[in-house]
Order: sequence, then C-alpha cells, then structure tokens
Amino acid sequence: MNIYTFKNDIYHYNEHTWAKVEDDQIRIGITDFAQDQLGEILFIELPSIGDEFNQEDAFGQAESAKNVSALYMPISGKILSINEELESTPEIVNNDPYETSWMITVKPSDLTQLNGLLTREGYISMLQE
Amino acid sequence: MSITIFTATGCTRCKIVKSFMDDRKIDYVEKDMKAEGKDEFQSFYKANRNSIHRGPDGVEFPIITDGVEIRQSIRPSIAFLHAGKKLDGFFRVGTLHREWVDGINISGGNPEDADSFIQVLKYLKGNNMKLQIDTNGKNSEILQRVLDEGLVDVAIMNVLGHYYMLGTFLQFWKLEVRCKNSRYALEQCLNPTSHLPPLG
Repeated sequence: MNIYTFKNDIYHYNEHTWAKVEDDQIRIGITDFAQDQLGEILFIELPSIGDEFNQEDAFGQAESAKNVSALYMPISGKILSINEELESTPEIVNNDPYETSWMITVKPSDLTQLNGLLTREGYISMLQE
Repeated sequence: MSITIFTATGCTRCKIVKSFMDDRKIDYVEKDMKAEGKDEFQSFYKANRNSIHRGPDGVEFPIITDGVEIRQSIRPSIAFLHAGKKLDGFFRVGTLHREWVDGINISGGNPEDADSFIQVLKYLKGNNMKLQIDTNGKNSEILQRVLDEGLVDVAIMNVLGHYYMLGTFLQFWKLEVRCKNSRYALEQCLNPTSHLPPLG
C-alpha cells in the first residue's frame, strides 16, 4: 500500500470524500487516497451555492488526464460555499487534499448521518480490504 | 501553420504525428503534459475541456491545435495536418489501443476527398498501424479502393437498408466482418448471403 496521509479530525465516506464538522457547517473534500488515484487533477466541477444534495449524491466531478471521478456527498445538506481557488488551480488538491483544497461547505440537514461515516481507522481498514 | 502538440511521455502515436510534421516540414512546439508542458496543458484543458474527448483510459494523446482548431488522437490529427478540415467527416476519436486504430468512418466524408483520405490511411498503415474502419454502405467505391490497396484490417459494417442496394458493390467475403448491431445471428452475419433469397 502506498503511503497516504490520514486525519483524525474528519469523518470519512466510503466514496473517498471527507466531512469535517465546523460549528454549524460541514466542510467537505476528497481524501489523500482519492487524489492519488486520480493523478494530476486538471479540472474540478463544483455545484452552485444553494444547491441541495442528499447523502450519496454526486455534487461534482474531478478530472485528471487518466480519470474522471464523481465527487459524492458524505452527508445531506445545502451548499453554503465552494472553494473558488479550485477553479483556477485544481492541481492544489494533489498537494493538500485536507486543508487548502477543501471543496464545499454545507449546512447539514441530518447530523445523525455522521454516525454512519468512517473514522480514520475504519477508512484505513476499508482501503486495506 | 504553426502547431502546438500536447503529448504524453512514451506515447507512440504522438511520435508518429510528430514524425508526420517533421516529414512535411510543419513547424510545431511540443508540450509534454507529464513534463515541462504540464502547466500549459492544464491551462489548455481548462479552456477547452468540452472539446477534449475522454475514453475509458482518460484523455487520448496527442492533441494538436493551431490556435483555433483542435484535433485529438492520431487519425484526426494527421488528417487535419494533411488536408485541413475537409477530412473531418472521415475521422473521429477512437477507442482501440496499441497498433489498432479505429474511428475511421469511410461513409462519413465527402467522396471528392477520397484521394486525401486514402493518403492518410496509407501513412497510418506505413507506420505499422492496423486499421479498423466503419461503413454504413455509403462511399462504397472508396471502400473498394481501400480494400484493393490492402489498407483495411477489419471492416465493421452496419448497413441499414436492403441488401440488393449493396450486394452488387461489395464483396463481403473479402472482408473480416465484425458484426455490430446486427439483427441476424453472428453466423448469418459473417456469411451475409447465406440466409437471403437469391437476387432477382
């Protein structure tokens, strides 16, 4: 297995997105494993502010030279903001998928969905299967 | 004409297109998207992503542009470099890999451009490519020419219409026919006259 960075302060969704609780909003991005699988990212399509999605819905897509991958909602909610930096410099996701390269923030509609997401250890176990 | 060609390190088809431009003394600048051309390809991709085809294995290289027109993959690129836009109907991005080249639609172009079209096929064939062509029955005289010159390795025939329209033009038994979307069983399709009533 390659060496990936994993974080303790986020919830992991089995479709390789993460969710971080910040007061009354959730910040969402993709995991280090996901960015590595994609390769050098060329374009990221993000939703509009105000759009609403259910858990498991695709909220956007990431495109690299070798792959196109849908981005899946780890939790249901309404888009509060998108990371506009990714429009001009999507490649930053390859360097830092957890901090500067967050993708969206959402107002969650059902916080209990967090209970069904994976911890750091749970996500690592899933990747090792 | 000054061309920018986006390539990927180790891409054989990119080398063939570059070699074509070298032969024709066409000025070009190469940008390897895995090396020094990474940033430029990223900008190009962002600006033109709707024009860039993606297959199951991602973006197919090379991609060439003269600043206005964009052509992707080996056959549309060589066709454009050879004859400009007039061969566009004959070629599109394909899906096959290694030595196999598809995306050649013999019925899609203007028959007046048959000579140019055949020259492109000859160039591909001369670079050890195996050619798979598609036909819907139109331009059958061009099909006959490419068969006679031994330029086709596989012909996919998806002919919509009565066989009487075609039987006199095409010698099916000369082809390795791969049946696609046929309403007949494979065996019947491979031997297309066996299940049909005699002519006349």
